[in-house]
Amino acid sequence: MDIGLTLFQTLVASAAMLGVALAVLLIYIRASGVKSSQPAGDKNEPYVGGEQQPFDEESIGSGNLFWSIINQSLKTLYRRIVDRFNTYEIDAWLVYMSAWLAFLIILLIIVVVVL
Amino acid sequence: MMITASMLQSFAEFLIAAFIFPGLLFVFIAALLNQWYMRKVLARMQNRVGPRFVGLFGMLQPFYDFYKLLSKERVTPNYGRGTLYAFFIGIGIGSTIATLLFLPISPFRLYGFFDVVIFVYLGIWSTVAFAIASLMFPNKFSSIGVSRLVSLMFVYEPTWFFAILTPIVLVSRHTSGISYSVLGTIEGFSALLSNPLYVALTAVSLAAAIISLQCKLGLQPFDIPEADTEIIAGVYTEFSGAKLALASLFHDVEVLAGALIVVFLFLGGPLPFDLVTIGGVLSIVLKFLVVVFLLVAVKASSARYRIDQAIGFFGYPLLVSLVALVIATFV
Repeated sequence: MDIGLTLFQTLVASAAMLGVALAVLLIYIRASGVKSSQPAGDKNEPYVGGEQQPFDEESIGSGNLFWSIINQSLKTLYRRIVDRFNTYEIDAWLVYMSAWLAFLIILLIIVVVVL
Repeated sequence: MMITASMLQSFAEFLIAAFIFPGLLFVFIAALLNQWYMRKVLARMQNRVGPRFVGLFGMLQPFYDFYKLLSKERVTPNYGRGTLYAFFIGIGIGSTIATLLFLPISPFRLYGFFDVVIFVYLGIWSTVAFAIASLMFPNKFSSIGVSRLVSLMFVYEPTWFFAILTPIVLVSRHTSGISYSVLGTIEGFSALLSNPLYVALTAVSLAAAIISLQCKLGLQPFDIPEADTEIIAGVYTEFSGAKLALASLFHDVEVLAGALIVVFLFLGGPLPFDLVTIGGVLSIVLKFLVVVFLLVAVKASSARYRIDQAIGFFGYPLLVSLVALVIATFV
């Protein structure tokens, strides 16, 4: 069995297949310029496979899809951080926010004074 | 590597074979003429007149239909991929044309040991490409059609493979030509006629091949993937205008290539004449018309199977062709 010959044949046959495919594609694209000899009549909206409303209104936007993946994958990390830091008391939140604001003010003073 | 004159010549032969004869141009004309023949025969069987007005006896009707479909408005549903669809239909037509390069009608001879594997591979590509092309448009009826097409593919492709392998194995084992090659089988076909057993095995596998061809082409009773009115038009549901023109051309090309393969591998091609004589060409055309007539006769006289009935039915030709192949291997 001559492997080389068979490989060559496969390549030649595939080249013929692909060449004809590209030729058909070219004909399809070029044929969009073919004009009908008859005047266009009334046009209805195309009936698309039974759905009652356009797909766009029913499907999820691609941006939401992205964020849902982020949310799903980072959910456990988020829960862990929340359980660690959240005491579920409004006073703790007040203390934390005051401390954070104080830190920011100190940072601001340092920046203004030094620079 | 030097480019020699003989390489240039074979490249030119390859281009001619792929795009002119027996390539795209020839296949386009012959397939549409064959469509006219099938429509005319089917119409006579159903007491109709068939195509009549365009050209001599309506011979140009398929050409006019093709042109008319090309010029129609292009409707592509949301999320459809028209260009990719055309590419995959092109792959289907291309793989079918590439199988014709293995036959002796091609000026570019493609042959080698075990090239039957490539031959069958290309044949499977045409069905797969059509299934993918149909899936380019989101439609539940297309999906059902494609699932039926793929289910059927798993029964008729093995049958087709076993059937065409039988004459190839017989000729390869009893002649000294190129073994397990399509071209070698056609050239050494007269060896099959030397023994009544070989003739019987070839006849049995011919029957299996024609049944699986009927299914491969989606003609009744195996038009299950299309299934008019049951699943709208199945795999054809979303095809309109230029897309329908390409799909119908692809179907006609498959009919042409399938019948030609049957003529060459099972009926001896130009026998009893030589290939490049008037007698040889007439012999090929006559056998071709008889094979297509058989396909149309079965189509006209039968009703559609259910998918489970069709798959159950295919057990018989599958078994018979397998047994014929096993006998051919040991005889």
